[in-house]
Amino acid sequence: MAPARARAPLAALAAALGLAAWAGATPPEAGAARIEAGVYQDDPVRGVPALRRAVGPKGVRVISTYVTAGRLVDPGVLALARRSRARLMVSWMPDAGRDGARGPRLRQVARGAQARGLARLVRQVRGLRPAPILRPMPEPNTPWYGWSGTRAGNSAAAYRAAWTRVRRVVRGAGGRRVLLLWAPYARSVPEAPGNAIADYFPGAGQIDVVGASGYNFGRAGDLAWTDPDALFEDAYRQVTALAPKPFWIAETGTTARGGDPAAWIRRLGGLRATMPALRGVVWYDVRERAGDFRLARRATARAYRAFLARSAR
Amino acid sequence: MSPVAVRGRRRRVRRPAGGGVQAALSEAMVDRLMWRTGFGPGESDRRRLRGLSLHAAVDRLMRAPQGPPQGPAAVRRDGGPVRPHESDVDLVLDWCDRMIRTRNPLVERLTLFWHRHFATSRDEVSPPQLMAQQNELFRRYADLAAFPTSNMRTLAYEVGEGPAVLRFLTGEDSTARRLNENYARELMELFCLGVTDAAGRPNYSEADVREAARAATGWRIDDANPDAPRAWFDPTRFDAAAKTVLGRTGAFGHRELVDVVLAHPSHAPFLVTKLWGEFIPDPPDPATLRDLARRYVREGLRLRPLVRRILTHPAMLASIREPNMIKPPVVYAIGMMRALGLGITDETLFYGLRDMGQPPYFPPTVAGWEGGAAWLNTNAAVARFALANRLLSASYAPLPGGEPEDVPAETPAQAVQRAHRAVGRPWLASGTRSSLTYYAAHAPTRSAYERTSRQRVLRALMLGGPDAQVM
Repeated sequence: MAPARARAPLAALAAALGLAAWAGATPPEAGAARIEAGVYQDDPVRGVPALRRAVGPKGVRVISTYVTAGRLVDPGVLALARRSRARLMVSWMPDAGRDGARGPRLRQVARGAQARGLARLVRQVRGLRPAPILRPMPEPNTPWYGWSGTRAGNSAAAYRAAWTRVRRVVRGAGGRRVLLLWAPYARSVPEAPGNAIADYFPGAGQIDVVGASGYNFGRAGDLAWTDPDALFEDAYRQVTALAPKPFWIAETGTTARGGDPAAWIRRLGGLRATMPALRGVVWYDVRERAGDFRLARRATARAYRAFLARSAR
Repeated sequence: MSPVAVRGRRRRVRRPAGGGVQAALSEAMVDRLMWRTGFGPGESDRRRLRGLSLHAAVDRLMRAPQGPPQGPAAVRRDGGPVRPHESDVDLVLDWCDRMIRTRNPLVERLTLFWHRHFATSRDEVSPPQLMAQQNELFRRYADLAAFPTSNMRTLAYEVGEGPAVLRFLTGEDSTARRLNENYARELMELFCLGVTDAAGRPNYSEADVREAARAATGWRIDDANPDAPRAWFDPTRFDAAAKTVLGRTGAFGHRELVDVVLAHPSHAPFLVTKLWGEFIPDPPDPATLRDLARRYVREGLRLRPLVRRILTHPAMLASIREPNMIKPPVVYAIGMMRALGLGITDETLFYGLRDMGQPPYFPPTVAGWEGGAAWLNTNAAVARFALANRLLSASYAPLPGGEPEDVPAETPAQAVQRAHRAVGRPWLASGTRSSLTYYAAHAPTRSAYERTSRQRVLRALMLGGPDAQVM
């Protein structure tokens, strides 16, 4: 252990002497904070114990769930979070219960159309420990949701107004401990004026945690195999420039289509070196039409275990 | 209170269309990347990089080892090897030969960048070994796979203490008693800071130049053996007293001087902007510039991460349907030779580069070549076409693919297609393609001679025409 402990002072000394290149040669993860790792599964009550066995308890420190406006968190998931002392991340979806440009528009959210249900949700989770994360209206810079900024009748300004209302409701419902996570998609779809990440930024005072979500779908159609640094580098730069707050990869995953998922996960571990504000990663552990993102394969699970051992707390 | 459903909601991700960092590189994107980072694409580049993300492709280029040059080495007109230390023509051709035969064009492109940045001219540097030695120094720093910690600080140390710059900027004559300010001025003005900052304020004063010159005294050159020239420090000629440069005071020597200059807040934006401009024609937006500069400083002025960030920036692929950067003459000429599979067999390339305005080792001023639109003045444009024509002629060298064959039954469109393949399938605007097809349809094709002439003309137009000048 002694040599490992000796590295940090040496690096500090090198930096102080202006030998920055040499100082930078120390292992990049040495000084970076450890992250919280979590997971989304369709049925976490059944799936989390199995995943815990496959990748270890560090892999499920956070349990992610999605809740349609007006509804509450599944009691089974709530109990699981309590039982396993995991942090609950609730993505709040103010729509009619299905993805797509349906449901109320952002200006209705801003007027408080979903306020009562949201307040109930906050009251349900506000006492959880560790403090729950609420991720309202994720990925507004994509066209896939009722709250998408590019949906007819919506706009980035309306999103910001809706967010302000959401925050007021959360705090008003006693959710002072509830951490508000603002997390756009890692790249804007479409990349068009008015749909940039920064356009949706509600203000540093309106959020507690920042983040982004993004996935490697592998080589599919006109998509390329995209490593995690490439996937998140630009979003991280933009988001942390807007608000220097803890950064979460609110959801990510990789398929095996056209590449090596184990290698992808190893590179995910390298992000702490280039993203010093990174504090959490949530894995999308699902097999679905867009790809198989599960950590099910032995090599993938082994890589994820190694990633957790190196990076997670 | 109304009952509230608690059933969990299933999350399903959407697969977006390709774009941004997730875009799979198309052939046009691969071509863009290979022109901007090298000397144009070969078919093998297109095969191995197509479908990758920009990041993955750049990583491959940056990780590639230099390896030994491929193909036959350059020869003189008499068939003998080039002798770079005996003739300036051969000195230039020797480097061009490396560019033509390199397995990793990015190394040679970055070597060329450093040559343009720390511009030193053979016109004022003798013996020529000094230039060749400096070229090797640049190549070492350009080889980011072999030298991943390559950084501006030690590069500036080595350049300033290198015989080529000491001779070119007469630093070898600068002593405590007889000060020469040339190097100190260029260190700040051209190598590290620029004259003014972004707000137009001067980065340094005349007093700074004088004081900096004192710190750079004491260096001499030993070139008794011209094949092993070296600079050495003579303490008897050094001004050892305290100096004040850019607000800092100390008994600075050359390296401390470089440290002080590189610590100036204008350094990072200056270098980032210049390196960016080597690959991307439009300047970085202020936020990008700030971010790149901040990271460059935080990473100890390391060049590899900076180059990677620039090459993977989405601006690299901007205007992909209409290439918008003029190829520097060296890139244009070497790219053409690589596309045709030609090597150096006489002085054609040297004179071509001279006429186009960019003979390596001979920058016009200490500021290097102006570049940009200046590459395409009337004379240079004519010289470009003339070089393309010359390289395609049998009198230069037999084309590896052979002379154009006569294909009597060929349609105009097929003739255009064959010519396009023969010259490496360069970018052609749709209007250009129509014009070429129109020409092919109306050119005389009654005899074998006329048909092969048509093929030659098509190839020359594709290699020397306006579309071939941009990347």
